[in-house]
Amino acid sequence: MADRQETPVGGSQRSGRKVDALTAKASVHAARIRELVGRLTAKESQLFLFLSMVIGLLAGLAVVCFRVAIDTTRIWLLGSGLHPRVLPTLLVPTIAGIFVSLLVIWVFPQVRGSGVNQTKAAVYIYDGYVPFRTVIGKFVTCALAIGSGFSLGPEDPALQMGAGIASALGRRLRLSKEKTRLLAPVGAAAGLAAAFNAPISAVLFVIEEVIGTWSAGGLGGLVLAAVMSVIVLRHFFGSQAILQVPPYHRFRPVELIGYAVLGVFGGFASLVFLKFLAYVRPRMRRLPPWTFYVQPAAAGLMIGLIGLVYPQVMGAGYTYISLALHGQYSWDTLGALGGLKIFTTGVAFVSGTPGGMFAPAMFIGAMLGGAVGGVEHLLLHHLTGSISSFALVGIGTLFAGFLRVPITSVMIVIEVSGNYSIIVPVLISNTIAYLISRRYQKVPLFDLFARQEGVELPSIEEQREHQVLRVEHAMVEPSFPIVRSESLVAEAMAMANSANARMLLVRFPSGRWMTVDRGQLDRFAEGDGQGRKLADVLTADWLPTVHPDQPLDVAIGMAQGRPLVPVVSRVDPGKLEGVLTLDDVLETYREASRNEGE
Amino acid sequence: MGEIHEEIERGAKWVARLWSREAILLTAIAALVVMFAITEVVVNFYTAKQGELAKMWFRRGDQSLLENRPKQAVEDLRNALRYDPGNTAYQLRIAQALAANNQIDEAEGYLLDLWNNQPGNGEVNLELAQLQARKGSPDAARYYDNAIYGVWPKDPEQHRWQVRLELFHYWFSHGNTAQAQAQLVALAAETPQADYEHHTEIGNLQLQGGDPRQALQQFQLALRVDRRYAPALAGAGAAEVAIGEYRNAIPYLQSALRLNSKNSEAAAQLQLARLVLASDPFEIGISEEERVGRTLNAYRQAQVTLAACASRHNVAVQAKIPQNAFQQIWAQGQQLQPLVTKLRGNPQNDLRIMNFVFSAENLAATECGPLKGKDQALWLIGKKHRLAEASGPGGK
Repeated sequence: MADRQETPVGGSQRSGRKVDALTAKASVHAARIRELVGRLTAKESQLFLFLSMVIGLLAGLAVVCFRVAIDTTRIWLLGSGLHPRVLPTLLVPTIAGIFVSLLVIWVFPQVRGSGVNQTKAAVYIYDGYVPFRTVIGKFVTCALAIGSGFSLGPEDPALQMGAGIASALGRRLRLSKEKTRLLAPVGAAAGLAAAFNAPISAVLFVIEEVIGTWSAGGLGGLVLAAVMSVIVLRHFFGSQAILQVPPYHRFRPVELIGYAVLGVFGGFASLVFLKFLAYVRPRMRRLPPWTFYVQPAAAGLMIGLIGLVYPQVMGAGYTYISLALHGQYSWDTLGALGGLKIFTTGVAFVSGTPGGMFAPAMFIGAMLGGAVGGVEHLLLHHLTGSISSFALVGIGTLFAGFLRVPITSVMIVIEVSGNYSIIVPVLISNTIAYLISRRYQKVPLFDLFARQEGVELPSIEEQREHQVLRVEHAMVEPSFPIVRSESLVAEAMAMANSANARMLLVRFPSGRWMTVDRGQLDRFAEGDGQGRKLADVLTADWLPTVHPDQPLDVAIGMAQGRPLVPVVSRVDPGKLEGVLTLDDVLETYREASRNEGE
Repeated sequence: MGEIHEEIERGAKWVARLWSREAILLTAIAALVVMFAITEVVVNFYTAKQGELAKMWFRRGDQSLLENRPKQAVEDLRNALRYDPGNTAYQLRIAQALAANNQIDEAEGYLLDLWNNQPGNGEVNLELAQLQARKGSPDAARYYDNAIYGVWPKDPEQHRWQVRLELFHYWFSHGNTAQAQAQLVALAAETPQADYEHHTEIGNLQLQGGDPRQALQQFQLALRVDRRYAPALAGAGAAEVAIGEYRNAIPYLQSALRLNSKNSEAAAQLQLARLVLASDPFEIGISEEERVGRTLNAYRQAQVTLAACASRHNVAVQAKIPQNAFQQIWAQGQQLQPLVTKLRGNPQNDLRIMNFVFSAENLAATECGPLKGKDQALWLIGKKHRLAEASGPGGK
């Protein structure tokens, strides 16, 4: 009996010991994890990079779900065919427009627009703050709008969603203001990279349009996040590029004329699109507030009406871009689609429906490019390339002319086509389109939207084109004699006397510089000091030096409190190119400012 | 009171620890894992649905193509490709649908895309070859060649054989008989000995290509495997007729007709062979009476045929001064009239009379279309006779 009683007691003791052992093991592991995470979080720069990876993964997952949501919504609402039936084509975008307007006005008021400017505002105004509600709002409203056929794209919302996720994490982790501010672009790059399946273009776009600088700390995070998000996307959807691009063969130099013509057309098409948005958007926003409830529905109805004849203009339109790239449309159809897409996208955007401009810009570019190629082919059959190569180059042309991101516009074509041989036509066409667009529309697209909303965000394009003042602009010939450090004090005094200079510049063999004034020389000469070398009597108070090509901003701090700053050669630091004084620097700035004003 | 204060402080510390960077980072990683799992489920469901839709549209497209509605097929297949854009089978099918819908350039776009990814794919090369052939592009031959040496996942030998056959037809239709014959030689070499059906097919093509001796070899190869294979027997008979070996043709054709009495072509060939043998005055071993009778019959038949053909062209054969070929040949026949009565004992006259016969039949064949029955037999006799003449005394 006793044995029988002992058995359960013994069993519970054994199991108790087991539990204790497991608990101890678990606590050891937990401690190790805590230590690991603790080590990771100890340095903010390390944490930033690690966080960039986490953000990339989260943004990638969000974009995957976003893509699924858009496509599923479209299948539910418009059917699985490329050509939806008449009634859904008319009713779905109209009714969806009503829902979208209600959501935007009552639930997610910050989701209007494309998302690029909101991210920029977060960086420059709100210390990297993007409300998480925006992420949810963008997801829901854009999935509904794009899925129901609104002529908008998912990329800019993906960019903002990425920025929102990054911002939320940064805030929770109580990172420094500087790092939190940098996290939003990191998330933006991740979101955009996953949306395009193109990490390089995404990083370039964020640098070109959002942050405007190539800071090493930020760049690491951007690249890591973009790569991680693309890895996630490819895990779920495979490595297939977003567009199915046919192979392109080497072009003949004479064909470049055709691509130059495309650049001109692309530039003017971009202008039409930009001017349409610039003119209509503020007027729509000035309408009575009750109209905000019906504007998206009216836009949806208009899109539906056009969609009855040209269903290709509904939604983001990637399938049709691929078809255009495969030469599946005649030039007149391509031209009609390009023109109608400008109208439908413009209407959708100015109605306040949330959604992006990237996919429509690609669509318009591909269609108009194909159309121009088709016409050229008809007129000069042997002088031009294939229609599909024009369609591909057209994508980049609209990016350059409409979105005004010249570097991204080249890279996006290469990344979506996987073909480097197309780069020369792309460069020519994009440059022409960019120059035309810039000539006739001074303010770029995203800056235009920001200014229409009354926000003065820094224009990256203006920054890019702003003349950087350099040291060479302010430096002058030295008015003081130069003396070697091996010279005797007496020699230096004689030189100062003969030149009637109150100061001398002393050059040391190491390429370092110092100044010595008359008072100092007199002091050194006391007693038998005249026979001593300058190097022996001068105390080390080296002058900082600059080079002629350095930005002038660098020199301001150096010139402060010093009689001059030597400007030396990069090859030979002992060779004086000129000198810089604070007065010269300030005068150069004043003159530049006067020139800008003129 | 102090204890409560301590508890609150402990609680605050606990909360602070809970919201430490480490904790938040771990929570984020945990959330990442959970989100990943959820996304995995969602995407699996989504891709399965996409796959179903792709298959559904592909089936529809296939059906439309089968029902000869290429426009609808293109539409359906575009839908299929929307859900499975990388599917090469769909791309190939849409190219076929586009080609069927006369959208040659569009079809070519897809095929070139496929070709770029799989330059050795036999089916893609064949489609491209057919497309180029339709466009009249000389590239067709290159793609046919690629298809012959390309990869065929199923039944490669049969596919290659068929492609080469198509290439033969391509060259043949373009009048390049040398290339066409070369393909047939290659086909024959590639055909296994036991494959009597293909040997027979090659034989028929060689016969069609004007090479009856090679054709006969192929038929004989087929008959070595199956002596009772009726198409090979009929082909061998036809080849012998084409060579001019009418006596050899008869047993082949008789056998072919015994096996398939409905073979009208073989029956016609047999009748022709018999007619040639029965009408040839140069046939060895016939009596003088028979020879004279055959020559006379041939002479009369030629006159009738020449006059009938001339009247179809509204030409009177009799003329004082012959001005056209009909009248010249007719006059030549009339000049032979005295010889006709002196055929017996003068076999050398046969040749002159028969020369007129051949000339008359030849002209009728040229001016009035293919000859039939006895006229055809006489023409063939003439053809054979001239061959014998041309090859000289040592010739056949």
